[in-house]
Amino acid sequence: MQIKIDRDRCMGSGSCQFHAPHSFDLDAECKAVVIDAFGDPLQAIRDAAEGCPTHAIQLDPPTG
Amino acid sequence: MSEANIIEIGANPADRARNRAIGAGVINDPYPTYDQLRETGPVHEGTINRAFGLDGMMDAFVWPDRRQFACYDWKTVDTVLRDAKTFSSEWYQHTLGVTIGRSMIQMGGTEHRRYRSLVQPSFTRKEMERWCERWVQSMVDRILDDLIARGEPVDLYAELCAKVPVFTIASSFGVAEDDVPHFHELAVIQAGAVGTPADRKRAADEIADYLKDVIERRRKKPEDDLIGLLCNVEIENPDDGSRHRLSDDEILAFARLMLPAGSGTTYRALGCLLLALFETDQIDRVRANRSLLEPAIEESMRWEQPLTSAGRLVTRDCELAGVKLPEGSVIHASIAAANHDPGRWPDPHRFDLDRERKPHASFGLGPHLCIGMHLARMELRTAMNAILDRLPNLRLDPDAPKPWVTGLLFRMPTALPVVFDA
Repeated sequence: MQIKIDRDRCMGSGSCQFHAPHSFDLDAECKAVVIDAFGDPLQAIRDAAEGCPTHAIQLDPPTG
Repeated sequence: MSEANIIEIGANPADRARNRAIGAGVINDPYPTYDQLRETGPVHEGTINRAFGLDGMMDAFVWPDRRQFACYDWKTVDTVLRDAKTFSSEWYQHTLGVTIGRSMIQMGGTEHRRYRSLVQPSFTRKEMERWCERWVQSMVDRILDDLIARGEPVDLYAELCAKVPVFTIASSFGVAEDDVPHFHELAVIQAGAVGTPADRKRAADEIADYLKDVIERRRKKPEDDLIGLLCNVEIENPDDGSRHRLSDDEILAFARLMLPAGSGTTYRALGCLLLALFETDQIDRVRANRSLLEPAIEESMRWEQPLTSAGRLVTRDCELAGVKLPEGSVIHASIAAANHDPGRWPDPHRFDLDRERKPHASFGLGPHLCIGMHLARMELRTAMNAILDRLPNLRLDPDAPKPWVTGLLFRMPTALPVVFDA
């Protein structure tokens, strides 16, 4: 599975980092980055995508 | 007057009056009504207050001269809170913004993004480790030292839940510890729901006078607290790319927004979490297995959200779940009804620690997602770990009246009378 982050949409809330802390981090510009696409259970990564306040995270394929 | 109407909950007279005004002691179990509204809607004309027979209350929170609607399921609440163009936060300009001034809660689009970006880096999960060490842990420890030294039955809601969040946010602004209780009262008054517009204005002015001093000091000598940070950052003018420091008024509006947002919400969340664990007899289970603490925090926030709705201004004629919403009307998104939508959570009214986790709506949804959510979670975690570590055999006081969760706009426990082993 691939995780894509749209940096323009990302507002740096860190919501993804809460849902999937081993998969996402924030960089120096306070934008989400993927540190390990398999760092958390698939459901946690889906929660991160669903919970993103600006829908900046896309999963490919969408169902994992 | 029935007993239900004279219930007193709160840290000070304004807090007690406000809690009555938002339905504490009047509305205890709103969920059957939410279910009915969801099933027969999910969109209805009229405010949420009116749906509960409390019309006329909390006018400061509804902008009463507009046509009002409310929505009551996950899907419509998700739509309203995420589509910030159609459902604008400009609503706050006519409610909270009247007293606190223009802050990011009422902004939209790129303006909101620019202002929020200034402070977002101060509210990351990583930054919260520093907040914990600097402000939260030591205060929680001091409160517990005192309770343990007294060694008697205590109302944990008044003695601990009421104090930790307001001390944290006020300390991060450079408010002196002795001034925090008075500050708390001012924060409640200025946020509306009790008192007259003149009372709210006076409270907002008094907060401004105090904080202007802090701002002046931070402008002279930088500090790495929130006011210090706001004095230092520069914001870009999108028209010509020039940058300027924030004005005193901009900093004040931000601070006035953060005070009630940071003090009342986590106060109630911590109270509801503890009550949920007492009522379901699971406090020892979490004490023994701390990996359950985070699920407990999230489930209790879903089960009893500290703030149950958010309003938006409808910016164009549109349709929501088959109901026509005219431009200029107000829509209230019921976070509580969304969090209890059986289409998303089976048996939604039950506090279930073992429930499958899903994002809830208690911090909002969309671009105005609570900026303090990592702070709130850190405060809840820190307070709970300290309580579980230091108060053995903690339980509800069997000799005190049994508490319950109450309120309409806000949800809170009536009290938390507890005993523990010395």
